[in-house]
Amino acid sequence: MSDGFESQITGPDPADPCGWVRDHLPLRSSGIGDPGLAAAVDEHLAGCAQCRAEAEFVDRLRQARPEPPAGLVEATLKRYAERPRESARKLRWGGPLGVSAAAVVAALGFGLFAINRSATDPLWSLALDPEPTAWYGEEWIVAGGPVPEALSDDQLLLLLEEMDP
Amino acid sequence: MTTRDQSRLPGEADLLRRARAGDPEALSRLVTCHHGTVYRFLLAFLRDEDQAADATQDAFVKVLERLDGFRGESSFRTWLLVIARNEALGLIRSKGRRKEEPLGEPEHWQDGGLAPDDAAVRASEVQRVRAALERLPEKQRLTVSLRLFDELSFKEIGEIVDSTEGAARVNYHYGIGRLREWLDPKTA
Repeated sequence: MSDGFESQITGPDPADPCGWVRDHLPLRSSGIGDPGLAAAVDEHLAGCAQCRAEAEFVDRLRQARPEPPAGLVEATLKRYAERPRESARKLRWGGPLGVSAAAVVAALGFGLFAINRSATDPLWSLALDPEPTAWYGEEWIVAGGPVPEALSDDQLLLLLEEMDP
Repeated sequence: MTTRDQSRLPGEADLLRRARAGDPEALSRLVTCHHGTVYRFLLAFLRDEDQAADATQDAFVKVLERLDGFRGESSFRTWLLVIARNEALGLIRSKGRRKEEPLGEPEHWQDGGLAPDDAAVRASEVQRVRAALERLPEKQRLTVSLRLFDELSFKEIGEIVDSTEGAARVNYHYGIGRLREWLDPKTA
């Protein structure tokens, strides 16, 4: 039976029979998919000591074939049966999309809140200074805070009221 | 002389159709037939038995969830192994780890100091071979493992490890050559 996919194995290449045989040594124990091919390999091995040595080495390597742990099939089917369903994931809003949507809503809310506050609150205006690099100039900073002279009268008054209500 | 396509299970199309419909027996058969190949491939990739077993399960869950998207342009096994490879790459990226070269000097593997017990001798030999396999560069290791243990064609291996069919063949023979140098230097 052939369904047209690759893996069509042809017979030994007369120009390089050793290369062809060595290519197919791992497939020898399963018959290379065709009794005629297996017989061709055996015939070559009978007359070629180098390929025979390689065949013995390949057989030795194949003895070290790792086997999957017992119960892996059952564990796999169980994991598949108990997986979170796609529909449930969508409803739970727990995925990356949900987190992104929450972040957008929070950012919009904060923005609107800050704009409203900044219209009436000078400290908020200061916090939303479009040129915040001014805060990092040494002449504006003492012990990590703004120099009072750099503040407007309104901002200074508000700070003083907060310090001594 | 030609042979049938070894990369597909007999009746694979029907099996996949039933699996898509949720037939538990078909799902179980797909996993049973391919789990060894996927596990060995991931073991060669990750070089850690626990991670290979875990990644095998994750790869199957992804594949079975996406069966509707499988169009049959390659065999199911090729598609499954490509997804398993991506699963392993994701695991490596997320954990930022991969077992580093854990090996001693190659000369050590050739020692003849085998225990008298047959089982111990065999276990020791298996360990030496696996240690040598782990030491191969990644593409050689994957190629040798897929060819040696699961008898994949070079074309199929190329699709899985992202190389040409010819490069897969060369990688296989280089890998076998290196293993002979390390494990059987007298005949290499």
